[in-house]
Amino acid sequence: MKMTEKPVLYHWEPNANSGKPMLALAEKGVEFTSVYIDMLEFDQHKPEYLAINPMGTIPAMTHEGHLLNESTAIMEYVDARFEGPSLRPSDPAERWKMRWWMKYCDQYYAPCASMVAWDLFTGPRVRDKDPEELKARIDAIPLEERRIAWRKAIYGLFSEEELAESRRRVMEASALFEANLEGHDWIVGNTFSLADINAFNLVYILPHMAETMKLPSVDPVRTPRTMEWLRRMYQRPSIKTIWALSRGSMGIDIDAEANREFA
Amino acid sequence: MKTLHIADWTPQALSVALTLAEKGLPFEVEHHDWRALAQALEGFTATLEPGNTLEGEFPLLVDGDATLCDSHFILEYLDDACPEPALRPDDAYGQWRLQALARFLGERVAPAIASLGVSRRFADAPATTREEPDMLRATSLPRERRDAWAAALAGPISPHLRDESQRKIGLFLERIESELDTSGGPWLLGTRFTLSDIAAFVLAKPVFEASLGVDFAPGARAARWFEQVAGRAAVASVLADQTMAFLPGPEHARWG
Repeated sequence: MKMTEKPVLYHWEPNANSGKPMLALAEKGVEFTSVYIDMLEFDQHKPEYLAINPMGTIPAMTHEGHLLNESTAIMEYVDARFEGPSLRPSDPAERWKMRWWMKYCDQYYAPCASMVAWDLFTGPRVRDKDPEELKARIDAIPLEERRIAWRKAIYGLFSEEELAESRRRVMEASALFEANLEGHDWIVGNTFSLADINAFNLVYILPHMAETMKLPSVDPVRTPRTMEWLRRMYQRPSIKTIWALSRGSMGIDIDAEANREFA
Repeated sequence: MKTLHIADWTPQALSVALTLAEKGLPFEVEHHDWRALAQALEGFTATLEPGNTLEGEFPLLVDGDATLCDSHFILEYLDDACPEPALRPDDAYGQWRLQALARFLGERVAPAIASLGVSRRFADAPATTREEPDMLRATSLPRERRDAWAAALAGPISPHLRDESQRKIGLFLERIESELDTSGGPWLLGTRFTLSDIAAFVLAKPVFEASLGVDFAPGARAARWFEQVAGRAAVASVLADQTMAFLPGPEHARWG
């Protein structure tokens, strides 16, 4: 593989969708230029960012004249394009399994956890802004899907029924995730892969949010294998490297998590 | 020998058959009655994925020890396991385009096509067709899948869901045009026929053939692309034997 230019990654806090390509780059040992986009200030919908990514979504990566979005697809690009340890299993059936679990996280587990979290935290934090300014900022969002989502989160428009269904699904998904970890260390058997990076960005917060989110999904009693898996994840140096790029605080002591003891 | 398990030739089931045919891989087809889906799935409980896949209950591909579900990932599996002829771009950026498009097709377009197709199939069906299939009671299926079946059998879709589905199909047609514009054609990703063409073609088929009960006006470039895919020998041979049918597919994204 020929030498390649340094990619530029536009990201918010190193979790959720932004955390996926960030951790993949770190695991791969790829240097990248980090550009922090403050989602709560709606930086992703400002003209200077829209000139780079017209969809106004984060994360996005530019590399060799190309714009890449969709965090999971970016991770596969990172693994395919750069030298470094392989982050995808070589066996076709294992690679299939990696992709299946990434979709399950992207389109089921994460959006449900995220709906609960936005309703409780993200929405109220943004809601303090001047109402006229807020409206203008929402109107500036290019994708209709994202406009609807932001409107719902900011004004607290999720129905009780929707929120209850999301809670139920997080409970279901966390149980399935736990069942899958039976007998092996990583999501796809004994090979660490992009699926683990993907899921970590969503699952890490759940044990810490159990009470505030009224969502007892991931804890040492209900999901011991998931807790052991999280500990293995926290032991990876990539987490420290990437979380150092946080502007706020991830609110979690990495060393304590990496050395957590279970009764 | 590979065995493709289906319950009717949904767009997703057809995409797997088309990929196998394009690669010249022999396969058997096993049909399952959709009225007894939950029972049929009991044969696939050795792994967690088949009963929990977001796309819907079938197709499944059994290849040796592996039971694979979710059609786009089956397509990528086939290209990983049987690389010739290659049905993905060789370069990482081309592969990214393929996967980004797959996400759009699976998350936005597939639910829209399934909603309109299923509504048309079941709305006027005799009551006996709609009564009490086993999956409505099968606790082995995730609740949202049982709900999807119950909704499909209850009658026509709501005006809101119809509008939303039509809007998404409009985005789909625009996307085909823009992909062809970016790549320069003749295929969606450029000069190589790929899994993207297959995945988009099976969803475009009911739209272009006006079998969803809604009128759309595809652009000239997209129409030419559609004819070219339909004219391929492997595609024509599969389609000559099969008629597409619709079953409850993936749900519409709940965030909107």
